[in-house]
Amino acid sequence: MLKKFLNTILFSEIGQGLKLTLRHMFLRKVTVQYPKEKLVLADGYRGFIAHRRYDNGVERCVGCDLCEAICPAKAIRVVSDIHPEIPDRRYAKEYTLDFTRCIFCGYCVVACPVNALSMTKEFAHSSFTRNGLIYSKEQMLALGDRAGEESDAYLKVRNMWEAEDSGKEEGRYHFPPISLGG
Amino acid sequence: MLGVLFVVLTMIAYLTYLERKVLGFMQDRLGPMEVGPWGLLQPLADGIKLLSKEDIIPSEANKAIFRIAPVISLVPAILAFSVIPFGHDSFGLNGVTLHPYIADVNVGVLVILALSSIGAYGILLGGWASNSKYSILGALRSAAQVISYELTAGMSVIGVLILAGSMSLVKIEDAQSGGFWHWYIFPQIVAFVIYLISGIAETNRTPFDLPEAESELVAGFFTEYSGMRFSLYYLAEYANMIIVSSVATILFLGGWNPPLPSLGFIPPVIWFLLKVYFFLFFFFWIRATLPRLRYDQLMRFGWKIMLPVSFANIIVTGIVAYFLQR
Repeated sequence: MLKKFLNTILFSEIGQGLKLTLRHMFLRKVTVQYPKEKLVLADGYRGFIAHRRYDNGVERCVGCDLCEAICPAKAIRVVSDIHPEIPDRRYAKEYTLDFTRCIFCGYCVVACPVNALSMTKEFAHSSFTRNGLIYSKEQMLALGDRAGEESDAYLKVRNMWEAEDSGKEEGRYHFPPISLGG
Repeated sequence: MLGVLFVVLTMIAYLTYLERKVLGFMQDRLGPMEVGPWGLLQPLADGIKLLSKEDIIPSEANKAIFRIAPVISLVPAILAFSVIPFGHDSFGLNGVTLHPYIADVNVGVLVILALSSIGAYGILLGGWASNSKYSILGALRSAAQVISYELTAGMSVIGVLILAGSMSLVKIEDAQSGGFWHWYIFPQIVAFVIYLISGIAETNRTPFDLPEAESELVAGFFTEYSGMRFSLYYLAEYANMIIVSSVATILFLGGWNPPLPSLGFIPPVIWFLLKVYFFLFFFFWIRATLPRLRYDQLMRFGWKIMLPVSFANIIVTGIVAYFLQR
């Protein structure tokens, strides 16, 4: 009773609050001055999606449309065709990823059987037009060339980097030669 | 007088910056940092932004009163600076004596209380003239709050007046010279606490800021104001804060008197400013810490708790002063 009275007239609870705020005034601040200082992003950070290549420069994508099938936002559109140069192989003639629809969930990267897709740490791609954010295959390949180590690191951290995927073109899938008839 | 006006207006502008910085630091973040080095040009940027906004007057509003209400709030707040003394000696400059105060009125305390009462008109008229639900509710609550707590502020000051024997601010400060043991905060600790709480309530600061609570009433009585008119209200609030801090310093903390007479070589103005800034920091500190009081809690606190305690303080002070004088 007396304690309650003393607490009231001496404002002890308010004093406790005041002590806390004063203490926080002298603690390190959490603000990051963005353009000058940037946060360090984890390797598994899901940024913009890029297309990867094999070590000899051949693009990995075989135009199987699995990424288009799994995308929850239906942001990917693939038109596949027979590869003009390499025999017994397909490729994606047109590959369009609409980044205004993409939710950056990473399912397409998981779905890809040849590790053709990966996610980079880039996110600062604003545009003044909607078309500016609809990336074609060439742009995504360029992204992949620019951010190669980040895309490799993403696959490693997310356990999608196969031990035998050494980067050689024949490493992943070896398509046996098909003979039709005869 | 122009000098004081200039200094006061700059001080008010940078007080907004200081508040944002202090509040930010207490919330584990830096305040404004972009505009100048460490954000120092932020008040300038705010001023330019507010000046360049479109001046919207609601179509059903009472145009004349809408225009004049912010002025009614701001002018008394700045006028109150004319009776506040900043330092001790007048000094001569080229044959012109400059006093550390603009006017040594022998009813200084009464002048300040009267001017803050006029400020309440500005709030009421602003809310009414806006012709909007949120504004009128905010204005009614704010006016009720201001007049309730003005009463307790006045009552708490009477204790100091009994001890000092005069209402002139200069004489009250002179009566506290010597050392910090002469300051009126010690005999009048209860009145000090009551005055401080009433001061926070009068300037509509957290935890008593329901009238302008951004989340409850849109912006209360200044919902319909934009641009420069809004900034006049905003400046009036900070000017009131400085007035309350200055009066608290003068009445309770000894104004420009140094805490120990040996420290008198530091100019008295510096002591005055230090104490005023301490109170302003205390305002910001309280804002960062406490949640808002509900309107009925606020009114109950003012009338049922603060007023009886301030009356008790006057009675006790009177009795003790009478017997000590014999």
